[in-house]
Amino acid sequence: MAGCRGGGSARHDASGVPVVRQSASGAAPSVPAVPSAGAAEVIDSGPGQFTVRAHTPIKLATEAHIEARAKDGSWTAYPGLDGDTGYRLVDSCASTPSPCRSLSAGEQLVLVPWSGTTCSAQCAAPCPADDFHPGTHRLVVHGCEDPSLRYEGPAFEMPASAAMLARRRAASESQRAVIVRLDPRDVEGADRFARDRVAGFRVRAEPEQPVAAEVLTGLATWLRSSSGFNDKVVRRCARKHMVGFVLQGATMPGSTGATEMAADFACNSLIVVRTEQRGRIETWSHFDASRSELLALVRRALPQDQELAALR
Amino acid sequence: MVMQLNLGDHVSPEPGYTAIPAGYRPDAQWARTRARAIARGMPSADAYFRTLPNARSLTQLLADNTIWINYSATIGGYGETNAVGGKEIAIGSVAFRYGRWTVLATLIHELAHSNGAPGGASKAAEQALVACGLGKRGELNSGVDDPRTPFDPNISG
Repeated sequence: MAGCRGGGSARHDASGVPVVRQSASGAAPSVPAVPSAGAAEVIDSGPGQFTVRAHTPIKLATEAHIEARAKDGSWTAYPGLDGDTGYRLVDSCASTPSPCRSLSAGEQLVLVPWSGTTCSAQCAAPCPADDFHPGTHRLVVHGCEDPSLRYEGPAFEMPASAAMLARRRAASESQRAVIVRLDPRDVEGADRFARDRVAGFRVRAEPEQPVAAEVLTGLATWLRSSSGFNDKVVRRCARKHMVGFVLQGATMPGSTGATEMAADFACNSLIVVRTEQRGRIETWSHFDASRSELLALVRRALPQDQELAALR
Repeated sequence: MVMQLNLGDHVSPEPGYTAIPAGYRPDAQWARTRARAIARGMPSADAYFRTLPNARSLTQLLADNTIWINYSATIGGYGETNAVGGKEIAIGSVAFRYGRWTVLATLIHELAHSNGAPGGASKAAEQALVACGLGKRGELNSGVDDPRTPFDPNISG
């Protein structure tokens, strides 16, 4: 496996063309950006979400590397990602790729995202125990026939927790949503899809309501909040006053674009279930610090709901 | 060695986790003593706890003097653990107002989280109560709560 030799210096491929880093986030490249001068570039479209674009015909190694930046500025690749399969240049987990991936000039490949974890990093099913890696990272892809050719993506920040990442991806991808009332006393595991359940909780008989655009915008802002959630605590608490959201919209490889969320206003708990190619991924949080914001949004989405109107 | 109750001799790193008020200490002490008796006399308790992700028995958890049982006046529930696998547990005022059996039930539930039981929609932590004789298998199978037992089959997380 190609190790990291540190970043910052300009590199050239076999044709003498400089390897150029571009960043969709606007981060300063370490060499002057020369459009189309590099053979390939890695573009970030969100933490752990990558597009590889070829400027000339190129053959890349299917196995790429996720590198973490240490406090001293050095970069180290994670070994054994995705059950030792490694993080791969694939836009679907369904196929078994060959060791090399050829791209024609102008072709771009949107990768199945990195989950931020080690074991279930990309396509592997969720693991009973897994390590989530917050902090500064980058994707590095290599030439297939010449592994010394490195194409380093821009540095990006993985948020503090898997739950925060799930909320932010849900916020970014959602273009429309419906809201339902849920029965807090009828819950099954969230690992299986059921038409009459949201995040494992049974949907009550009332019809679902579409969420107005401005409420959805507010919901996305709430989901992106850094300070409104506690992603660590776990509680013994009897849920009450539950609502569910089903968010749908733009799809990235690795997700169907549907996110289910179940929130309750007794325990201030939030369960988020995203359907990804590696399975239904559940994360949970508590939103004590931002309860008033969510309650206001829910009341706007369900203005006739007496139970929610009476909540303090 | 024994799991410790915060009687004013511990400063929890978790905001809002405080010493157990004097009036609630008898129930907290009773719950810990009762939990140890369960672990000694009910093999299903240790067996269930060993199936949880961190694979420690209830006996081991109760003998871990780095686990602290605190009090919290502000949590919106019976109790909480600072993280899955964490060692700072808080029993809430709600649990103490219900009485010592609810304190015991909450202690068992939170020890399951300390042993790696997940939150969210999982019922793994609450099901520890059945293995400890604090709920009936019929409640577990039917999902119908028997108010005579501390176990609530509809509590998840």
